Amino acid sequence: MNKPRKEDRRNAYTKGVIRDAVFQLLQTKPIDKITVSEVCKIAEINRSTFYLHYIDCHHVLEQEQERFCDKLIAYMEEHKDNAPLDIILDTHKIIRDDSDLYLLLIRSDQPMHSFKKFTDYCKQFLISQLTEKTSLTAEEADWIAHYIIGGSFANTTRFAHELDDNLHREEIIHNFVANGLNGFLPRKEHL
Amino acid sequence: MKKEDRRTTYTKQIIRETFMGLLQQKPIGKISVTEICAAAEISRSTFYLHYSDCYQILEELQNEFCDKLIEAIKPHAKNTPMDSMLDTHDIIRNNNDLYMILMRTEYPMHAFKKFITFGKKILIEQMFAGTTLSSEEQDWLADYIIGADFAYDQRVLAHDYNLQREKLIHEFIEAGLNHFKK
Repeated sequence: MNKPRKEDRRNAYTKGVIRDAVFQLLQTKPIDKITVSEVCKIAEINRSTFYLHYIDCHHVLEQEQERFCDKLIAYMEEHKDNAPLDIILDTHKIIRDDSDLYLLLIRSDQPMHSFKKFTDYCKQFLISQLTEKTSLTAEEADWIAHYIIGGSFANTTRFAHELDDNLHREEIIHNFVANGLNGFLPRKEHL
Repeated sequence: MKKEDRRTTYTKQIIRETFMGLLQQKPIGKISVTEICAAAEISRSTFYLHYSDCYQILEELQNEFCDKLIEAIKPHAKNTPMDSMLDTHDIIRNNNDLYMILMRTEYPMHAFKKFITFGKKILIEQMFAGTTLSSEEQDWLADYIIGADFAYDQRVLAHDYNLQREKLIHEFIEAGLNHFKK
């Protein structure tokens, strides 16, 4: 693999035009059908320039997915102690600001995998909370967390399509999840 | 419409199996009828007697799979939502290859659209009965649950059957919905 190179301005510019070209193409077809040649033509660069920065088109997409995840994770890190509903509403705000990007980045065949880094982060967070506060074993907590995050992704994707800030919808879903989890809690400590 | 005789069924079966084999290796856009015919050892004209193109085979497979799943969740006397869920998992498990192929197509939610639409209706009728949720609220929650189920189904395939785990998920949904019961 390439040694990590320091990013100078010219580098950043080239990566930028590659990224833009990939995004432009993603509007019309899935990533599997995008060729490096096409990207180079739109970005007006050489194939060899492309390969200086990326291995293939998937690599471009993966890096952008990771960047998006980093943004969400950075937010979560800072606000971990907020109420779960507030965190969800705030991540929606981040996604709202970048909803076009979100919809380009999410692959419909593997929604959770598209944002793997963020999914893994949320899952670990949820699992640690669940094992600490409920009677669930680590394995059970893992399954429940996977289930909850799968549902949240479906909801978030619907939100990114419709962009209707609907507090009531979030509350309904939140109540459903919180009460579902309450079943695993000792009675006194209901969420 | 011609009646399907045994020979026809046999030919279609070969075409479908060949097609599925190829789909495991590459996307549908890259599969040619010529390729299928060569692998299935039939002539192109035989192919076109049964199908107009590869997409028609895929559609047929999707429809049949959805119909099977729909059959499993159709409400009949004794099936509880838990039974329905277990039955669908059995079907998915028994048709693992096909399921994986359909999940890997461009729009998997679209591949299962027929089933999802029906599943949503059943979910709302069976599980949301007796709740105070408005129809809009039911729609939101149904989408959430179906999305979560999809994520769960995808993962469950890689693991052994475990009744305890299915019960756990079911308990979670029940407890969540209980909150909205009158």
